[in-house]
Amino acid sequence: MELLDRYLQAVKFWLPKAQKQDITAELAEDIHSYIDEKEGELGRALDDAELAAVLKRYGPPVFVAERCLPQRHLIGPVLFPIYRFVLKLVLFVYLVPWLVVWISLVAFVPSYRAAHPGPELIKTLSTWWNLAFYLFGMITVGFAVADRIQAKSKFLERWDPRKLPAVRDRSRISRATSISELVTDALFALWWVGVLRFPAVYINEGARVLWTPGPVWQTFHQGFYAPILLLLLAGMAMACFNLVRPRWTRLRLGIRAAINGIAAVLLGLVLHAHWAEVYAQWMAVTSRAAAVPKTELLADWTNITIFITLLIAAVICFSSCLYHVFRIIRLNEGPQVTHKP
Amino acid sequence: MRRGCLVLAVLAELRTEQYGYTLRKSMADHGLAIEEGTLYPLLRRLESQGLLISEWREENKRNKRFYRLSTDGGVILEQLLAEWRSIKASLGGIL
Repeated sequence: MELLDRYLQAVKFWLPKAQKQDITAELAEDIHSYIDEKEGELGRALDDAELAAVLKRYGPPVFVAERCLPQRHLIGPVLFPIYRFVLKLVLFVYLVPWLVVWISLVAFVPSYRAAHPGPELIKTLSTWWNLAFYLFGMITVGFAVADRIQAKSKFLERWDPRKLPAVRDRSRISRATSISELVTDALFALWWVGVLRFPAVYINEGARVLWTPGPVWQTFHQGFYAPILLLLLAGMAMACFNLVRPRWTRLRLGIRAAINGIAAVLLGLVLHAHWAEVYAQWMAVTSRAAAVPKTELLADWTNITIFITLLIAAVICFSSCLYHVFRIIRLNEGPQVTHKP
Repeated sequence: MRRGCLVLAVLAELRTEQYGYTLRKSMADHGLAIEEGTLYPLLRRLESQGLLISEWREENKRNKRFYRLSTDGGVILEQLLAEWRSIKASLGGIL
């Protein structure tokens, strides 16, 4: 029976301390009873091969130990759908766009490749990988903790149907959306015409750092001053109108699609002109006290951030244009159907 | 469905005191084969819920854990049986 003792010892290894003796003793008794029955049928003791076959029937020790314990999980079925939703949100709203921008830079911007030759290029992706790892890890740990709290307090069971969100009316323009558009466009327009300015910031040792428009930005600003201002004014006018008449019509969707489409084209033109110079001088960073290499590094980061921001803005404007065109096609201007009891 | 039926079958079988292996054999003889990996956690759960009582005792020179239905277990078994009969009657009407 040495084989059986070895088997039970292996099972015991995977069991929690408090239940080791109890579960192993009961399992041993079950196996002994089965062996007794087999030996009774055969009229002799089992040999090693037959005993091994019996143990194989019971399964690998780790599986047997796991099956003998109550079901255990990190995130249970109650919170799992929410956990999955949050992970998907992080993946598609943050990590995938980040990766798309990185791939675009690598594929289409020679200066980016030149600035990060060979393995350096892969190293730039390590930020993404670390970010993904930390985000997924933190979310998982957060939900595992919430699962334990939920198991004790049952906080998810205290819900009120009256607090569920209202039925979504896709034709209605929310007041919050219109106000946020108006404020954003107004702030951007004020900055564009020079009323608002970049603030100076203070870095190490109290050194004052100033961002001033670089040559590329000045060319861009002069060349696109009027069209961008007109787009912003059109956006603000539309946001005001939407506040008064908060329903999408084909005309308004068309105007929104046109604004976004023109913005995408303008941004595309700018990016195309400076495609080969990812560190183009959009902004100049100056500081009297800060060390020169630090200022240059800050300038590089500023300029690549502007480049990536413009790239993302172009993609968003283009997608938004397509989305609004799609909505024009799908828009049902008739009365909304509601469920009645 | 099988999981619910197993609970009912185990409680019903344990109206008579039995240990794990004989319980498993008895259920298999009635056509409800159950793996030890399913049975023992179920027995432990039912015991922790107060529906079963267990006791280690020596029989044929070996220590065995005997299970039997508790008083609360008897009440629950009656409720489950009533529910089972009601479902059976309803399904009989549908099928």
